[in-house]
Amino acid sequence: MSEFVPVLETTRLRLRGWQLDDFELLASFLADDEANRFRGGSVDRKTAFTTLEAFAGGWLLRDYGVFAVETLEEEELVGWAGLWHPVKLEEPELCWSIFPAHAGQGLAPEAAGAALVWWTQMEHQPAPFSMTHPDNKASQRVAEKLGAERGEDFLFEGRPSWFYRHKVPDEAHWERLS
Amino acid sequence: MTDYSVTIPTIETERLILRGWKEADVDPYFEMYGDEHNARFVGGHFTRRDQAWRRVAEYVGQWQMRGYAMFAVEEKASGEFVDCCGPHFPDGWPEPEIGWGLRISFQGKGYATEAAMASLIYAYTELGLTTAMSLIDPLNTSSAMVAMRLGAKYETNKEVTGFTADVYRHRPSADVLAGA
Repeated sequence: MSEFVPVLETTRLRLRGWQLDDFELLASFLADDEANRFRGGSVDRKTAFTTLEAFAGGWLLRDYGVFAVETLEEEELVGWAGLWHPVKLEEPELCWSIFPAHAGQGLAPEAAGAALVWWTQMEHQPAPFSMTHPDNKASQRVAEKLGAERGEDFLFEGRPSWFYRHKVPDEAHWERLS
Repeated sequence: MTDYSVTIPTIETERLILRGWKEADVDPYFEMYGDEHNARFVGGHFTRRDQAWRRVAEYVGQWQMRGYAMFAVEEKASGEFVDCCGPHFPDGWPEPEIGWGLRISFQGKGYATEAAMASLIYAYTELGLTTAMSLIDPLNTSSAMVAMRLGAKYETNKEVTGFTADVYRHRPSADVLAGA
């Protein structure tokens, strides 16, 4: 079991482990139908708490996981990014989500880019994949900004999904991402 | 800066070890609670293995965030995963609970009582709790028996985050609080 969650900093963001104080903001985001339409819909507080627990606990079952993402200055939780790997996936997925109040500022590629750099450069792991809902244009733009290449569409839990394969960032790419 | 680390203690009883979780626990956990009948008192069964993985991750995550949570329980003699036991405090619970489960092949040996007693002593002596409760489905007579063997008394019937449970109240004896 991994004992530590690393802390990563970018120009505007900090990626860190999860804490109980994250619950209210996470729960209100997960209760938002519109914001979660590509992730199977909103969930109640009880399920939101299990999501928080699973994010925190995933780090300790594996040596990686999904980071909480907060603003560097205000330390306000704005979303998540990292490597999500429940056993139904054959390899970890690079995932990200930025709360609607903070959308449109390029925070998703900044957060996901930091996680991608950490995973491939510091942990020396192969480039991960991401999947998006076919209608999730915003997430597809993030994948493209990260330099991912589209692969073959596939079915995930019966739903058609777009497949992206990321690339290991080189120095210049790394600079742009962080 | 917050230290996002966790240390899950190991507690030994006569026949059991209460310890942190491993990924290898997911398979036996899924085998038990992927069964509708076995899971009838714990809020529904898993239909896929990744749901069991996520539940294990949730327990570990609660350890990191609260500093305590359910232990994985192992049988000393065989090294086999027995089930879970320990303090449990999700959002919406009125107070920390002492919970336990027992896979079918380990039932009837007093293991739940042994593990729950160790968890209670841990809660009183290490976590500073002066009382604890257990939420038990009114139809779960074998779990109610465990609560009574531990010395707990039925207190009330209560709705907690969408289900109704009997509340059993645990109180430490004076010697436990004195650290005897």
